[in-house]
Amino acid sequence: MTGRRFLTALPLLGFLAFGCTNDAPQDDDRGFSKIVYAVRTHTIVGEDGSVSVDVAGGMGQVMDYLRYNPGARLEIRDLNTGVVENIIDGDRYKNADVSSFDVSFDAQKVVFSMKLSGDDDYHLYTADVTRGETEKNPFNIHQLTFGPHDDIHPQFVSGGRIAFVTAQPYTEMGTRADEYNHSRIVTQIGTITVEGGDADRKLCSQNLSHTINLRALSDGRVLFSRWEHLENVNDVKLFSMNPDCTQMVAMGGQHGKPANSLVQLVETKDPNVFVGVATSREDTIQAGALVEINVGAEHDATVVDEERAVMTVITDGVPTGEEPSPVGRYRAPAVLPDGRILTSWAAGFVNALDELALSPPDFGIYIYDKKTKTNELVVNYEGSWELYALPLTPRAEPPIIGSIQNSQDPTVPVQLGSIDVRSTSLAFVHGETVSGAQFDGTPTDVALASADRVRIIEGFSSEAAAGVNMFGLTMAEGAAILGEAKVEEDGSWLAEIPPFIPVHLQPIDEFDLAIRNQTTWIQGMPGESRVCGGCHEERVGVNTPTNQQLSIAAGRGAQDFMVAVNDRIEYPWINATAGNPNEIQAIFNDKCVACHNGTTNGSRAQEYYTVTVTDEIAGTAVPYQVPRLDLTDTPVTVEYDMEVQDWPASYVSIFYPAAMEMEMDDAMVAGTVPPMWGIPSDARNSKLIEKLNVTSVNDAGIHAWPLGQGFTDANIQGASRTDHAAEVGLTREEIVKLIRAIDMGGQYYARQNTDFVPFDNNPLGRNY
Amino acid sequence: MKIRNAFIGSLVAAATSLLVTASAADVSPEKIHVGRSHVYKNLSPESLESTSSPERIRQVTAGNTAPTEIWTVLEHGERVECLDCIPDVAKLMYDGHPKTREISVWWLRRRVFGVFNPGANGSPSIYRQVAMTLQDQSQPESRRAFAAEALGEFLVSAGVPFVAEAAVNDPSPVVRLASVGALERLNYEGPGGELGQAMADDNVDVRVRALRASTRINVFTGVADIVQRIDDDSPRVRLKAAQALGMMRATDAVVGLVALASSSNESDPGVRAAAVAALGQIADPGGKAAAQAALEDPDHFVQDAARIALRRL
Repeated sequence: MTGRRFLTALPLLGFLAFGCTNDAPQDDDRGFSKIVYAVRTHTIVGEDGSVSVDVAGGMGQVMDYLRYNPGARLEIRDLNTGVVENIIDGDRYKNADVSSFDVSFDAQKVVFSMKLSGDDDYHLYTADVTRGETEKNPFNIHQLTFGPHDDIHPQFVSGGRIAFVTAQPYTEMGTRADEYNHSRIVTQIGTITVEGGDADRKLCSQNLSHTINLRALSDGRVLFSRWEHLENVNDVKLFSMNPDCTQMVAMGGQHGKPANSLVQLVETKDPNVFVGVATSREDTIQAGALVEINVGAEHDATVVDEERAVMTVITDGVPTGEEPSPVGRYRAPAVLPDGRILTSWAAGFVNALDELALSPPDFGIYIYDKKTKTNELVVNYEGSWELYALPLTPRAEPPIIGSIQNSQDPTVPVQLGSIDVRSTSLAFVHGETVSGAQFDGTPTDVALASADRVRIIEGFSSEAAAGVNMFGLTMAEGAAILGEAKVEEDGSWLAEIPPFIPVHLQPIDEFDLAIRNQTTWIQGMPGESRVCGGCHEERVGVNTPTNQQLSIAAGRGAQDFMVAVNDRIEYPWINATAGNPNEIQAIFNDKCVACHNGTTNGSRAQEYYTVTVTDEIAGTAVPYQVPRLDLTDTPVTVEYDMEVQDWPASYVSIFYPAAMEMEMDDAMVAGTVPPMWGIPSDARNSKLIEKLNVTSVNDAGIHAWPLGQGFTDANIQGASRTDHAAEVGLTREEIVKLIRAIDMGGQYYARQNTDFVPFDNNPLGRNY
Repeated sequence: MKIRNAFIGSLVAAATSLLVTASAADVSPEKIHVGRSHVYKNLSPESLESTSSPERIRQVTAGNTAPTEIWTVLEHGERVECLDCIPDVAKLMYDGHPKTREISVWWLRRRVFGVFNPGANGSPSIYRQVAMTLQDQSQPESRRAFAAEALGEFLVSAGVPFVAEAAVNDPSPVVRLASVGALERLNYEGPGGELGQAMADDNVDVRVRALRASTRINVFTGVADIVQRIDDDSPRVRLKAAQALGMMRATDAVVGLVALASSSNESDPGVRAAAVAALGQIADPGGKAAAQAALEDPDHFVQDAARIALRRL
């Protein structure tokens, strides 16, 4: 199939789109005769006759859910007779919008997310799919959730439960902020029962960013897409979990994919093979190319091998990025009993250009045949979007996955650990290496043999407190260390940490330097065990403790890292609450500023480089001088109005070179930019740490960077490496604080310098 | 209309090639990895965010750009130190599209240079200009409202006094509404409990927004202000008050919610359903009889709320 053949099919589709709305295809042994779908509006006519067109509102990103336009319908269409019924017919629903729905396993009910008015939130409802005799409520609609927050993407799961995602605030952080510093609208997974609704509401452990597009799998698990924002990582990947919220694990996209975002995935008839949408995170009106994802292991298709997932785009010519499409884009696929794909599709660019032209893409419902690469029109109304179509056909109810996880008590820890942290596929499958300090292109498995401890880092977002916004000159989110678990001789480690919260791990060496920074959030429920085979062990390999049945860590018992939120280790750069021993600026003030200040930099005069910005009022260029390495708290550039809250010279000196490296007009900078003293999340390659040097925690005579050798950057002053930390009286403990501050992301703000107060209406009970 | 669409279509087509070119340039692997932490070098470009060039930022602020394109380019410019872009992006704080206004401040607030500091000739900083705009009653109300939004979006606690004052004292309900939203964004009820005060505003939209905000900020102490809204004239306000009280598990509100749960007292079924649901959340025995009675409510959503509440009571 070529793009040309696909393109030649389009004129026919265009004709069908305008001519065949009521000429639905007959039931031809597809295995179903009815479909259900939402009709959503995009053009609003006001009471005064004014017309407004909402092309992309509420769906700028693939995980956005806030779109609301009144006038939606939830239609059931009999493909044989052409008869259409609207489940939400009547005055009560005239201003409703429907964001998502699912069909029950016996195909007798739907569960849907509906917002009745602009003031309302999206709540969950069930309805029958056949009209009853009750005139007042002919489809037997029942409301299941009621709170002042949005509940969307419902899915029937086995055992009479419904899984969904919610923006409900819970944990001490409340509703988390979108991409760590946008609005507080992040959706997390929850479950209710069909019978009990909110009364049986269970909230799952949190991710830092959105979870969306739940789908019940035939083996009983729940598939979903999750926005992974962990410093520079910024994409949407596949995960799954058990219906009791346990075992949230990666399912695909962690090791390469054809697009930034994998969303709207559904299961095919083949085990561990899914079909969904591959697209950009933004700008494509939540549509994209159809992609087939096979995560089955080569030796056994029923075994998940996410790190060797095979992803195939099955719609030729449809972009997987945000650029204008020459052949339209697909959205919300479902797999039909005969293997073809029921999907929405719209012709045209289907991106921001539609918005610029105020010409909404016209999503209609089609059956896509991947063998012939053609669309068959099912229904397409003019002036609305037809979305989320599902066949009304029974399917086997998945087996119930048994659970002993029934607690929502945040004081019950989750157990985290590895059987052997040295076990990894990162080197031999993915070719990963480690450089910096004692490593130079060292394969990751070799480097992990040096792991001394595993650092467990909690992530949080700008919901932390007023004043927490960008966390400094870094793309990293807020961070706190829960603890550093000892790696035993057999490579095992085990710790107990608070449940519900997202964390990531860093195996660290004897110098306290991170060997690797895990770029996926992990989390667990109260009482859950999340013990891995290693540090990204091979997914289809055997994981056993070395030469014994029980790992040493398990035998010794888990280390207790159940630390209250206000006592977790953070490294506020400055203005920490009184008595906080971890303020970075305090270290500099005590040991460094005598030599590194506004006039001197070590044995030399302080040097400056200049960045220039144009004054908006005067239209004149304003130069700002940035010191090469001034470690004082002197305000370099900034004063916040009415309140002194400066960027200290130390922070700008250390992190601005790395910030500038991202992208900057060369013409705006004059002078010599110093080495990247601090690289967020990478102390091992941060020149400040190399200059200071650090000794082994086990042997004070061993340095991370051997003495007497040249620096890795000729721009670092000094002929050769020394133990500069010892020379200036910095203790190892103080050096480690600097290392941790950088490895955690180089944050300026912490909960401990922003008057953080936990969310005080945590429905889970006591804040931990 | 067809002519206009055709004209726009030709413009769009002309722009397409430019966009494709810009997009392709922005996602080159070299650019993606420049300056990124070395530990990320093993990650594929698809997992990383492509960065916007300074030129691209200037282009999208120049006009004739789709809002979503502006949002994307600025968001991908998070760490792009385009200092010359600051004045142009600052103008977007007063754009007609709320998301464009939000993203412009989002970008501005991470500029170390040129936003929070005074100009060379002593002219006020961009941040201070925004605060002055909010306070300047000679400015149109829409512009003052946008300034309030911006102060919220800057996420700097120094903005709290400005928006708190405007939330209760600005003569324009449009400005008060935006200021209440800014308090929510700043995650703060105001130094004098202004969020609670705004619940008694003359304007229904302001009251609704304040109630909504009370459920979203980390700490809200004015539960009594919410309880008073049980008797509000507006069903929209009563509904939001019931939801907020349920979420806060306000046992002091049970008596009021019981009254709201009855069709003999409350004509709006949405309010009754919210009140019954709140009684279930609070789970105080004093709410059980009202929930049981609500099983016979003429509205089926109220009956649903009652069934669910009774499982909790």
